Parts: sequence; C-alpha cells; structure tokens
Amino acid sequence: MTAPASQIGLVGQSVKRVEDPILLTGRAKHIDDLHFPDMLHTAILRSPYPHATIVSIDASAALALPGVVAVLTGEELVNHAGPSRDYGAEWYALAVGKVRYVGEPVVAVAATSRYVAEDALDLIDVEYDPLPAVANARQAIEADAPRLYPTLDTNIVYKKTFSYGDPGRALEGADLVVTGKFRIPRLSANPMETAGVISQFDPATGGATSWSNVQAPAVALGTLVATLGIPMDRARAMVQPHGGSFGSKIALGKFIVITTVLSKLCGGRPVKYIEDRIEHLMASGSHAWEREYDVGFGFDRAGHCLGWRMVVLSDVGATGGPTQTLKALTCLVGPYRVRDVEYDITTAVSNKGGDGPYRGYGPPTHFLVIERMMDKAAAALGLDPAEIRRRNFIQPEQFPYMQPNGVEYDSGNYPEVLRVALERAGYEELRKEQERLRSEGRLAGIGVAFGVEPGGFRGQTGPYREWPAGGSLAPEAATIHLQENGDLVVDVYFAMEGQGHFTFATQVVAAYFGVPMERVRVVSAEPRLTTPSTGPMGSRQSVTLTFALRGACDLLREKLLALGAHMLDLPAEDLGIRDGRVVPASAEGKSLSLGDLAAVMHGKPADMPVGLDLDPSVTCSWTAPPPEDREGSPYLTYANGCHVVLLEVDRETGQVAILKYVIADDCGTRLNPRVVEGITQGGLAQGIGFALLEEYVYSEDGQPLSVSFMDYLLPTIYEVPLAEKAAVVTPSPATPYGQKGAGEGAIHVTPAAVFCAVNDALAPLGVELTQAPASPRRIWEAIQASPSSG
Amino acid sequence: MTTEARPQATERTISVVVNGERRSATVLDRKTLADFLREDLELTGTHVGCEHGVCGACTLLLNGRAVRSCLLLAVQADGQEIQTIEGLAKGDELHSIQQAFWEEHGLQCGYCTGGIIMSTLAMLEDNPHPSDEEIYEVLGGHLCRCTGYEDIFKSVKRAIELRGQGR
Repeated sequence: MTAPASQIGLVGQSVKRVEDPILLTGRAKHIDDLHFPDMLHTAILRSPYPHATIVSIDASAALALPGVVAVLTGEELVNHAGPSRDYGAEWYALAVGKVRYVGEPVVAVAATSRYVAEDALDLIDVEYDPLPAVANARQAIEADAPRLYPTLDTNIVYKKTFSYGDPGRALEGADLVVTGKFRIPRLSANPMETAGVISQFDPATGGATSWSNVQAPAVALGTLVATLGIPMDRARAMVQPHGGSFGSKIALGKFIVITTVLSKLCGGRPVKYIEDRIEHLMASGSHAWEREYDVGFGFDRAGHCLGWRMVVLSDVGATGGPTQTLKALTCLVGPYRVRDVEYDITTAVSNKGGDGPYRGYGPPTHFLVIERMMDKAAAALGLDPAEIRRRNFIQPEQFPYMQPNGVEYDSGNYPEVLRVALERAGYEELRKEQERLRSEGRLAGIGVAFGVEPGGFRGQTGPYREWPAGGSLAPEAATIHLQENGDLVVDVYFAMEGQGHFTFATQVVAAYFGVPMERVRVVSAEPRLTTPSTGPMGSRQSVTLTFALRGACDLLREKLLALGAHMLDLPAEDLGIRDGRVVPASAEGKSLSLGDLAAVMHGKPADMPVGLDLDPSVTCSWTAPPPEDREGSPYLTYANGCHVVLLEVDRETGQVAILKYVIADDCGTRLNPRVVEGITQGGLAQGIGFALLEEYVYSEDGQPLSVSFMDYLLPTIYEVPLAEKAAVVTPSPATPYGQKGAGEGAIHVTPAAVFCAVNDALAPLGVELTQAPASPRRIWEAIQASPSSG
Repeated sequence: MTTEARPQATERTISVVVNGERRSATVLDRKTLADFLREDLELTGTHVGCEHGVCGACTLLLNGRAVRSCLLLAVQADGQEIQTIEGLAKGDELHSIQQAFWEEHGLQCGYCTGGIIMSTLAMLEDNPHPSDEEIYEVLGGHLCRCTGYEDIFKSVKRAIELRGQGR
C-alpha cells in the first residue's frame, strides 16, 4: 500500500498550483462562457406558491413573442422524461399538476436570448389553486397535515432508530444527565458560480450531449440515460471548470432534463440555462441541514461520557431524503470512546426548497451538538472543557478503532491534536485574558471543539446501505498517455473546481516517474460510462484519485519495463524507473529515456518489437475494495481537528467579534500543505457563516425571505478570522502516502467551536443559545432574557 | 395578463476602448455592461456572481475606477475606457498582481478572482502603499466562498511588494 520512497519526491511539497494561470488571466471556460452557433437561452417561470394545484397554463402569448422558439410545461415534459425518485417521493423537472415550493420550475422558455426568454415569462398565464402549506417538519409530521406526495401516505420520508449497546441503561446509571434542544438553520453552499447547463439533442441519432458544471459527471450521465432515456452509447456529459460547488452541483438533473427536452423540441439546437443568484438562493435544491435535535447525554462524576440519545427531526423541504443526516452514523461517536448510543432520525418533507448536499454533508451539525453537550457537562462537573474532552478521547493505541456501529476509524492521535491546539492558542493565557475581560464586565467566551472527518468516500456501504442505491461503490478513474516526446498527459474524469486536484495529480505522477512537473499535464477528459468514475465528493480525491493515478502509473510502468527489457536486452525484473528513465537496477550501463520508449510506442522505428503491448495509453478505474458484507465504513480515512477560539459578544448589539482562532488539524500526510491550509481556511469561513450569519428564513406560510445576498449573508473578510494553523501528522495506514481526505475538516468543527464560545461568553448571564446562527438579534434577545440584565 | 403595449426593445451603437482597443457595437439599451462584454465582445473573464451588486465578481475598471459591471448598462460605458482581467497579462507574462495571487495561493476555484484582482489594481494605482485597514476595505467588497480570504489578503500584500520592486 505504501508508496516507495523513490516515488514520493514532489508529493508533500507546497508547489504552486498548475490550475492557476488560466484562472488568473480569465481564460478558463466556465459553462456560461461557452457559446455555440444557433444556441438558445432558457428562462424558467417558477412557482410563487409554496403549495398549490396548477389549474391551467396559457403560454400562447409567450410562444408568439418574436425570438421565442419553444415553451415547455410539465405536462409536455412527461412525454420525454421520467421522474426523480427519493424515498418514495416522486417529482418531475417541471411541476406536474401541482407545485410544492416557492421557486419550483413550472414553465421553461427557450428563446434567442436570455433577455427575450425572461420577457416571455411575463406573458405566461398560470392559474393556481392554493393549497394549505406545510411550513416545517413539526407541522409535516402532524397526523392531519396536508400531504405533499400522492405516492406517500405521510410526509415522513424516512424514520429509523439506530441503537447500539444499551443507551437506556447508560443514561439511567449516569451520575449526571445533561439534556439539550438545538435548532439548526437551513443553509447552503452558495458557490460564487451558480449552476449552468447547455444541452443538445441529436434528432438523427436520438443521442444527447450536455455540457455543465456538474460536480459528479456520473450523475449527469445517469440523468441522460435513466431519466431521459438516451441510449448509453449516445449520452455524453461534458464538464467545464466550476466556480465552486461544495456539493451544490453534484446533481443538476432538473436543468439537464429541461434543456435537453427543449433542445429536442427545437430541432436539436443547443439550449443553455444559467441559474441566476435569486433562483439559486430560493430553489437550488441544495438547501441543507435544517434540523431539530433533542438529546440527553450521561456522564459519571469524573466526566466520562457513558452514552447518549439523540433524536433528530430534519426538514428536507419538498425534495430530499435522510442521506445527510445518515452521514453522522459514519462518525457517530465523534472522537469519543462512547459505546452506548442511540441516533433516532425522522426526515420529513415540507413546502420549502429542496434539500441537497453541502460540504460536510452531516457531521457539522452532529459535532455542534456533541461538543456543546460536552461543554454543558464540563460546566456541571466543574471541569475545564479541554479536560473533559481529553478524558473521553479514543486513545492513539486503540486505532484502528471500531465504533459501536461497526464503522471503523483508520487512525488518529486526538490527545496530541488537542495538545498542539491548546499550546498554539496559549490556552492558559487565553483563559486569563478571558478573566481579565470578564472583570471589565465584557462578555468573552472560549470554545474548544473537536471533530473527525470521514474522507476518501468509497461508496454506499455501511450506514449508506440505507440510500436508495445502497451498496453501490464509487470508482474513480485516471488515464495516462505517454506522448511521443516522453511527456505525460493525464486524463481525469471531472472538472477543475478549486481544491487543487490537478496540482496534486501532477505531483503524484511526476514523482512516480521522476520527471519535473512541467512534463506532466493533467486535463479534464470527457467522462464516459465505459470508464467508471465518480468525481469529487466526500473528501475523496486525495485518496481515491491518488489510487487511480498510481494504478495507471503502475500499468504504464509495466509496459515501459517490458519494452525497456527488450531494447536493453535485460530482464524486466532488473530494471527500474528513475528520473524519467528506465534504468538497470545496478544503475550502470545503458538506460532509456521516456522519450526513447515513447518513440517506439508511437511507431517511430521500423523494427517495432513483436508481442509487446505498445499502446502508449493506460487507464485505471479504481474501486476501493468494499468492507466485508458492505457493512463497514463508507470512508477510507478519518482526519480530525481541534479548533480553539476566543471571542467577545457585544452586550449592547449582540455582535460577535472573534479575537483569536487556532486550528490544529491531522489529515495525515499533506500532498500539498499550502493547498490543505487554504482549504482549511475556506472551510473555516463557511463554518463562520453557519455559526454566525447564514440562514434561509421562510415566512410562516412558506414564502422564502432570504433570496438575495442582502438577506442571506455570506461571510466577508471582516467576519472570517485569519486563523493560526498547526499540522499534526498521523499517517493513514490505508493510503499510499499516509494522506487522508481533507476537504471538509474545518467546516466540521468551526460551527461547534464558535457556538460553544458564544455560549461560554453568555454563561455569566445565565442564558443559553440553542439556535444557530448566533446572529446579533438572537444573542441580543438572549441577553435581554437574562435574569441579570434586569 | 395582456400582450399589448409592451415597450419595444431599443438599441443604439456605442463605442468603448476595451483593454486599449477601440470596439464599437450595437447593443440593446437594457443590456448590462457585463453581458455586453461577455456576449458581444466575447470577453468572458468578467464573471457574473449575483447580478445585484453584492459579490463583486464582475468588477472591472471604468476610466480607472473599480465598478460592478452587473449594475451598469453597456450604454452607460459609451465613449469610456474599460479594463478587464483579460487585459492584464502581457502574453505569457502575468501581471504582478496575478503573479502575487499565484505565489500566495490567493485563489481556489478562481471564479471571484478576476474581480478581486481588478479591485486590487484600482487600489494600487491610487495608493501604492495601502494600510491593512485599507486592504480590508477593498477586499470587504468582495465575496469569495473558497479561500476564507486569508490567502487573498496575503496575495495583495505580495502584490504591493512586487510592485515596489518595479514589476
């Protein structure tokens, strides 16, 4: 498993990113930068009602507008496309019969420009008959609540209790039981680039091509084949560089369906749709994490956690399932040695925008709750928050650690990560500083929070067996072409999106063959159903793409050695690859450059050796071997991190100012430390958004109120602390360089750290904040409710 | 709903200097400056992030001042001078601000980067030695969802250094 030292070279170095020059000069072609001859543009008329029957649609005036080529309604769409299905619910890309949330696509128009297409929307007359709306999960689960789906006799799309050990006994036998109720807001990734698709149907062959900024190309291909019925050999899904995704662009199915059907209706003209920001905020289908938690944690006198019960009610809006809530099962006990736990999930649909993936996928809320409960127990027992965590950590010698539900953590050294974080923060001094501020009557709080990060997503094993496609695995592919001049071209089957994948892929391949990075070029190739590959998600590419790359390197190496053996007249076993040359193990005598070998493979000399495989291209589609019975972890690695924050709450305004922020993070070996630090800082920023700012607010009757960046607040440089970062390196035994997935680590912990710190700041007032985000209004209201604020 | 009395879309011919080159085109009055550059001039380096003036991705220089091209109409730029991200590098050679962003890992997905670089350029042309507070004030007008701003801040500091070295 472990890479030989000779192949490590550049891996682990902070080289500059190969992605950057094209991005810095504005020459990268994002989806909206593509323009095809004869292309049409789509605008979508969306529902103004949270829940209503569609009585009639009259689009004749729109169709008569010069420049409008086609108008598509749900009624017509069903003749060309199937529905999406999730846990018993079923819906189409355009509403059929009724609408279930404000912003649901109802009619799509294709016209010669977006301006004209939007004009046409004003000419469409839709008559609705409003229905009573389900505004939240609490209402949704009422017996007499209006139902969203005729295919379901309830609004509950998923309900299950996962119980391990004996949580009842653990709580009954506890010296201390702390309870808590939490409300987590609805929020989303909001990448700076919204979703976009161009589709073209080919009337001659029945094939279709979509170009898009989809994060998971396999999902786009799946939409073309399964939802649109395009024959497998004629379905193409091209990917463009993304302006960020963070999960929100994993699935762009509805837009691929709408534009493909429009293209079909327009005789095969290419049809573009670019989501605008308001549409994205209102109805991207990637709202996430709206949950209520009701929990009880048991402890002994010494602060050892004996067990807990968590009851979670998720509101997934009109479309979605429990998948993000289920992810908590993959890091169920966090960093703690707890054996008796219960996790009870109810997932309900409501008349709000649909649910979809957001970076982290589930653990950020899980750890917010666990970490806050740890703080509550520490306070009740008179323990320091750092100490109670230390007492409960899984110990370094316990790895690989099997959680009570059979999901294994590969490696870690949690006490060391905590120690480094506290040391870098100057924890004792920080507590003194807090005391000093408090003595001046100021509200200063410290948060110490820990989280583990499932990474290297391998597929729907373990708890993900509960997914609709449960059991399927997630391959990743890479192809290496040896060019005629001996340089290497590496195809990956997903788009550039910000995490530096192309850079570390260059590092891995260059190091393997011992060539300078300039001789390796990574490109985004057309994803193909014949080359199984998944794309980035679940902090997987530093692990899964690396396996695919090294698999392809191994295949090429084998060919090069066989050819080298022939040309040098030496046994292949006596040859190796060093500094871009096939050399005898003895390092003496004749050697061959990659160029020498490439020339033969490209058919240059007439005396081509017979019987050897001279194809200069190799592909490896790598799939992690599934755990036994597929019951084990869907993740190959578990990074972890500790955040320490000192902040101050303004008593008068409720505003939070972060005074110090320290992160110690252990994601094993860092393939490119600078890139990892950048990603960590970025995750921190999103975590700050969660903790302090971001929330999709709906009115009581289901109208979205946060539909611009004036209402949905993303953190700016003023809100995000420039965190001090420390690395602890516990290499993973599961990966070639000891690396672990690292893309989601910081957002797992930041919300917990900040939320704990805000509550620590408010503690002297005897009030507790149980709802995120800790906005000035919420904090101010809590302060007003304080018995001491009189 | 009625179909009559819709105002007809009107258009006019404008002439602008973009990255040193004079360009004339006939555009709809209602077309934004961002759409004009992206669609009519095929300068797609100016990115549109929110179309309501908050995110700053579409920032470019109009007569040397940083403006949001999603909030301006193309016709408002008639007769004026525009600089976009495409105009910065000289052939293969990156502009010093671009170079600084590369060295300091000041971008991840790169979608917001063009706008931030243009704002940085406007700031440095005006004030070659901004204080940290002044840098914050400029970066505070941009949203970036990837970087958490730290490396952007470092990139701007590095750009100031490079500029000081005459680059």
